Formats: sequence, structure tokens, C-alpha cells
Amino acid sequence: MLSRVAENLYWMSRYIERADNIARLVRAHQTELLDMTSTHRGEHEWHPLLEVTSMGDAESDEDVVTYLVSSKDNLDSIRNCIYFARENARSARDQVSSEMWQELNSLWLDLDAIKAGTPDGHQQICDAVMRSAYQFTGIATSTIPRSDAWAFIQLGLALERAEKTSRMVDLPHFLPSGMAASSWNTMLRACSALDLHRSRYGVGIAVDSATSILLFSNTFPRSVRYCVRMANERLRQLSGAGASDYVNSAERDGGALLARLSFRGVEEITSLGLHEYIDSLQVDLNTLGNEVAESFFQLRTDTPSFNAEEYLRSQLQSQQQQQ
Amino acid sequence: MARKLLYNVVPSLFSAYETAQFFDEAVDGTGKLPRPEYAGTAEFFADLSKHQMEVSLRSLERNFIKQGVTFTVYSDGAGTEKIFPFDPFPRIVAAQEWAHIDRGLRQRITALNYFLKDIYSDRKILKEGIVPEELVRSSKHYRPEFSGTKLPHDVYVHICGSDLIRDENGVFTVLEDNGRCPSGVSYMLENRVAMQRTFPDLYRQLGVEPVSHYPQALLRTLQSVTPRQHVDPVCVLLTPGYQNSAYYEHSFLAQQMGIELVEGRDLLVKDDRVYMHTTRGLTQVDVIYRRIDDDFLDPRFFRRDSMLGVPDLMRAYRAGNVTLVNAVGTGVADDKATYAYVPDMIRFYLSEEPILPNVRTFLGSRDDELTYILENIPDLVIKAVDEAGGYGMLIGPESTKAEQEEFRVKVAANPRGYIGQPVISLSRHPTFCDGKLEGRHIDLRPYVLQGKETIVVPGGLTRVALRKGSLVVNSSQGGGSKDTWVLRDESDTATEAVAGPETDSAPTTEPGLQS
Repeated sequence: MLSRVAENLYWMSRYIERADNIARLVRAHQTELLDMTSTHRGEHEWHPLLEVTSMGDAESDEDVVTYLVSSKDNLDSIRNCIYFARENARSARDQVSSEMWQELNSLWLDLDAIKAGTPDGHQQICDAVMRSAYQFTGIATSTIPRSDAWAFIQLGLALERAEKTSRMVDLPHFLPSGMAASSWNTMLRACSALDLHRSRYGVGIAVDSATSILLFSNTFPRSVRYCVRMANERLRQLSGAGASDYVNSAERDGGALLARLSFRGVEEITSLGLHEYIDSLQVDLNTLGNEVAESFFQLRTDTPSFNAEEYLRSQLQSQQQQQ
Repeated sequence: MARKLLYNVVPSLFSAYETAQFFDEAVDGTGKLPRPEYAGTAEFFADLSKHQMEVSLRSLERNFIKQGVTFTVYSDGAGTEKIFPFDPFPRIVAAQEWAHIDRGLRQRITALNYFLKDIYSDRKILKEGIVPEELVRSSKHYRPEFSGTKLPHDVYVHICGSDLIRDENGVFTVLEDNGRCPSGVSYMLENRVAMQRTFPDLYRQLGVEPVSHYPQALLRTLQSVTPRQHVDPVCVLLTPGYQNSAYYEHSFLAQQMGIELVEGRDLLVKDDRVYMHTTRGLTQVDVIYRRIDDDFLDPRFFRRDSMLGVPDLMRAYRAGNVTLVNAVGTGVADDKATYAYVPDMIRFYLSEEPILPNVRTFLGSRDDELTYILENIPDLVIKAVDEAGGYGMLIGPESTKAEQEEFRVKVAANPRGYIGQPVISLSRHPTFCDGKLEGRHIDLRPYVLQGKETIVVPGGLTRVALRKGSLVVNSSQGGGSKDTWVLRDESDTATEAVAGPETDSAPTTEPGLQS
């Protein structure tokens, strides 16, 4: 597959997932705010969402929502994410099934018709994006052969979802203390995990029960661990390397990150603190994203190696040369 | 065919319809009755209630928008995506009529390819003075640097889209040849899918020749001109990118053929060979179906500012390691002054008379014809020889004195750059306009492929000038399209289909002007 097209598919998928997660966060936060007295909310009830998504600054609360949902100036607003997803799909139009393209194209045309900048418009946009993201994923699942195209689409989805879920878990850090308790509700709701949490742990929510689902679950499809495992599987599909081997840096660091999440999660949170732990997870996820780009998207004139031992030898050689 | 009966059944469809002084594709000389090949369709539309028709039109439009079958309009600054307006009344061509067109198109592409091969090698036609050497040398798209480059099967124009019109007498006539990057074929294919979906019963009942095999035929053509023998050819479609107005078509064709849609930055040239960057390293490319003009192909050879092309692509091309479709330098055949000589080319190379005539053409490059052009601008269509898409032309009778004067100055200053043609009253076709049928002018762009073999797709893109009275069918100038249905040859009905005074008459217009 063309490197450029692989990159287009990967980003198409990432942008849809990004839009979906912002929409989920906005709607979940909105729901929590409804039940809150004004003393609990603090002065700037929407600002924490800007901080948790690292999206910069805005003046009033109304501005924050517009900025997150429909602003043209915010590169990562829901509107712009769908725009970029569509542009990427368009650039890889011959690899995207026509049903996927139609879904994305219809969504873009629908968003364009919604009157943005009003509470009602925000809600409509979020709902349309959340519904469409499900449909898009469903269509991809039923129309894309499990070849390289599939691997890059899934890779984009998995890495973006891992990144966004980890950010949501960081929400308490940014909320005024009066709202911290309800932030667990918000993140579980945003990740469609509230029901699962109730059935497993009852109605009381605590750090360990929430993180056991959102960060460390091996079966819940939005958990960070699950997503990293999914990314690793797609990386190995692309290279053909065995489960315990690696032939590029993305596979090596993806494997290390998965081990970290699987075997050392609780201890690390205890020793680092939740916020610091999330920070370090995000560094690892960013690195992994960069390594995917380096391994597959950046132009190269050599032929990448698909043999684990050869890869190790070439790594050793290049390290020796650097010393 | 039960004409009388049909008239009783459908008194309404054409009762208020005006054919005026034009040749009408669907309505015969009486002005009220459908031609035989249109009988079934006329009946079908007459039976359709207004409501059913509206539902059909809406579903058609939704279909096009959702699929993103759009083109980009640059002139409004915003680069807006628009759908190509589509009219659901199909243009119908009888089997025998098509057989005639088919023969004419094969003859024409063959002669054009002989001509291009000749001017880039032996130059026989120039030496014998059939085509003036100066005409070729002064053509904007002449590429003498590539003379002698060996091309597989000696084919230069692999994909040709010669525009056909029908004159006052219903004679199919060639208006111009498009031998560089003829576009629009995706609309032909999408129009057909939309029509089959919307009017399945009518389609089945008539027996229409399919066009859906075009992508396979194109792929076979591309594969047949690979320079590397004994290796499965790697073919790609080179697009300028999604900002290009025809990007939809590029992606559509690549997808249909199952080949990579590449941009210039996906390719690189190493040791005079072309490779594409993939996630698994480099893959050699054999055939490039390029939808980029010559000028942008290689920034080291042509325009230095081109970001669309591939550095050193021309080296690989000249070394014979990659085939470009269409070849470099085919624009000479597109030149509207060259066009006037195509009938002579057919006689020279094939020793045959042209099957499809040209429109009578006056060349600015011939002194006596230049005088004629300058004296008759108000009655002529004046065209710049190297423009397309309805740009750079003047329709005399519809122009103002100031516009005529502007063209008089332009033609006088650069006679080689212009041609004049009599205003042809293009045939008209019933078209749905605001809920009723009105006659609108149309043309036809068929698609002809030539590689190891020649393939003519039965049908093509019928373009329709939607503005009342307009003769310009280009999408950039307010044109739309119709599906073109070539009826299958079922001998018993075919004999009836040609029984009409117009189709009996042989072409009377002499192609070109003999001076």
C-alpha cells in the first residue's frame, strides 16, 4: 500500500475517533452539570474540558463549548476533526469503501446544515457525530478486507482511543474539588462504561474501580490496555512478526507499553499519583504514534526489514555507529 | 411500430413541445411524434405521474450528492463542490446508427495515432505537404524533444474523446478531438448506475448496451502497453490531488480498476526507472495513466514550479522504462487547426474516406480563409486553437459588437491561433425543465480506447446545454448531462429504427474546406 494512502487511512480513523471522544466528553459533562448546584460548579464550569483535552484557552463558558464543538479556529474542534477525516478519506478515496465515504460525506453535509454556536446546535452536532462514528466503524468492519488498509484504520482508531480515554481519566485533576466526585460519573458515561461499572462494582465509584475498567481492563474495548493490545496486534499483522518478536521501533515500544499496562498499572499509580501516571502514559502513546509514522509513512528508499534478528542486528549496528 | 396507437396513448407528452427549426433527437418531423427508438421511453414518461417523476428526480439527486459525484468550480473563489446537473430523459441511439459511429471513431483514432507516430518519426505527411510543417512546428503542444521515442504498439493516444454533434440534418459530425486527458467518463458510468436504479423497468424493456465494462477495458488497454515483458504490469493513475476538479473521476477509475491512485510525491525515479513509495518499500511502476498535463509532469524538464510532477520522469519515459497514457506531445492532435486536417490524414494513412465528417473549418493560418474569418465574425464561431472547456471562444450571432471587435484584433494579431466555423445548430433533445419538457442543445462525447486492440464503448456522455437557447454544453459553463442508451441490435426492430428521412441522407457537407 502507498505510504501516503496508509497515512490518510490512519488519520481519517484518528480524526473520527477524536471527534467522537470530544462529543462524548461534552455530552457527558453536560449531563453531569444538569444535576449540580451552582456552588458546586464553580465559576467556569466548562473550562476543565479545555484543560483535559489540551486545547488552549477561551473566554466564557459558551465560548468553550463552541470552541470544542464547532469552531473553525480550533484545529481539533469536532467540526474540524470531521473536516480533516473527510479530507483524508478523499485523498484515499480509492481505498475507502463507497459506503464508508457516503457515511462520512453525509455526516459532513449534515453538520454543515446544523446551526452552530447555540446550545441546541452543539447537542445536535455531538449526537450526530457519536451516532455516525458507530456507523462508520460498523461499515468499516463489514466492508474492508482484513488487509493493510484495515490494519491502518484500526491502528489509528486504537491509538486515538487510548489517548482520549487516558485523558478522560485525568479529568478529576482539572475539576474544582466540589465536582471531583462527579467526574468519575462523567468519564464512565463518556466511555459508555457506567453500566459496566455498576454491574461490577455497584453504585459507589472510586479511583481503583474506575481505573480498573478505563485503564486496565483486558476486555472492555475502550480501555487503554485493550486499545494498546489492539494496536500491537495490527502492527504485527503489518510486519508478520511473531507475538513475542518485533521488527520496528513501534512494535518494540508498543510491546513495552502493553506490559506496563498489564503488569504494573496499580503499583505505578500508587507510587506516581494518578495525574503523573497519566502524563507518563501519554508520553508513551505519543512516542508510539511517532514511531508508527516513522515505520510506515515517512518516505524511505530502502526496504524495511521483516525479520526480527535482522532488525536487532541493524539496531545494534546503528547504535555502535552513533557512539 | 404502432405509431398511431402510441399517439392515442400518449397525447400529452410532446403536445406542448416545440422542436422549432432544430433537428430533434426524440421527436420526428411532425413535431409531435416520437422517433421509433424513442417510442417506448416516450410512453413510459407519459405514464409517469407528476408525483412519481418528482420522487424519481429527488432520489437521483440524493444519489449523486451522497456519492460525492461532484466537480469543483474555481471561478466563485470558494472552490465549491457542485454536482453535475443531470437530466433523467435518456438520449437514445439506435443500433445501426451506433454501428456507423463506432466505425467512424475507430477510423479516427487510428488515423490520429498514425499521424502522431509520423510527425515524431519519419514526418512523411509533412514532407508530402499534406499537413503544413509550420502548423505542427507552431503547435503549442508539439514536443520535438521526444521524437524517436519508441512507444509500445506505436500508440500515442490511448484514450480519445472526440466530441460529436448532430447538425440540422441529423448527421453525426466531429466537433473536436480530445487526445490529451479527456474527462467525464465517470459521469457516464455513474449516470448509468443512477438510471438503472431509478428506472429499472424502462431500462430492461428497451435492451440497452452496457457500459459498465469500461474500467476493465481501460485496465486491459493500460496493461497492453507495458514496457516490461514477462512481468505482471504495475499500472497507476497519477492525479494532481483532491483539489483538482476531476479528482472524483480519478479516484473512481482507480478504484474500479483496482490500481493505485498516486500523486507526484508518491513516485520517484531511480536509475531511469519509476518507483512508488509503499509501506513495504519501493515498487516499480510500468504504466502511468496520468491525469496531469505534459507541462506539469516533470519539474526538471517542463515547468520548474510544478509540485504535481515527478523529477526525472521524462528520463525514465525516454529510456522506455515507463509508458505514459496518453503519451507526451499528443496535444498536437488536439490543436483545433490540426483538426481541420484529420480528414486528409484519414485519406493519407488509411486510403479511406472519413466516415464521420468534420465541421467546415476556416483556418486563420491560411490567407484567404483568414480574410473570410475577419469579414464574417458576426456569423461565425471563433475558437482559440489551444483552449478547451468552452473558454476562448466567441459565438458570433450571440456576441456584442465590442466582443466581435476584441476577437477581430486577436485573430489579426495571431492568425495561427484561431479558427472559424459556421454556427451549427446542434440537435436538441427533450429535457425536463421546471416540470415540463423543453428542447435543449446536446452533444456526445464517446470514449475510444486504443492499445494492442481498439475498444469503443457503446454510449458516452451526452452533454446538454441547460440554459435556454445556449449552445455551450461544458460543465464549467452551465452544462449538464444525460445518460446515453445505445440500443442492442435486435435485427427485426433495427430495420425499422433507421426508417426516417433524416438518417437516410448521406453526409452532404464536405469535410474541411478545400482551397
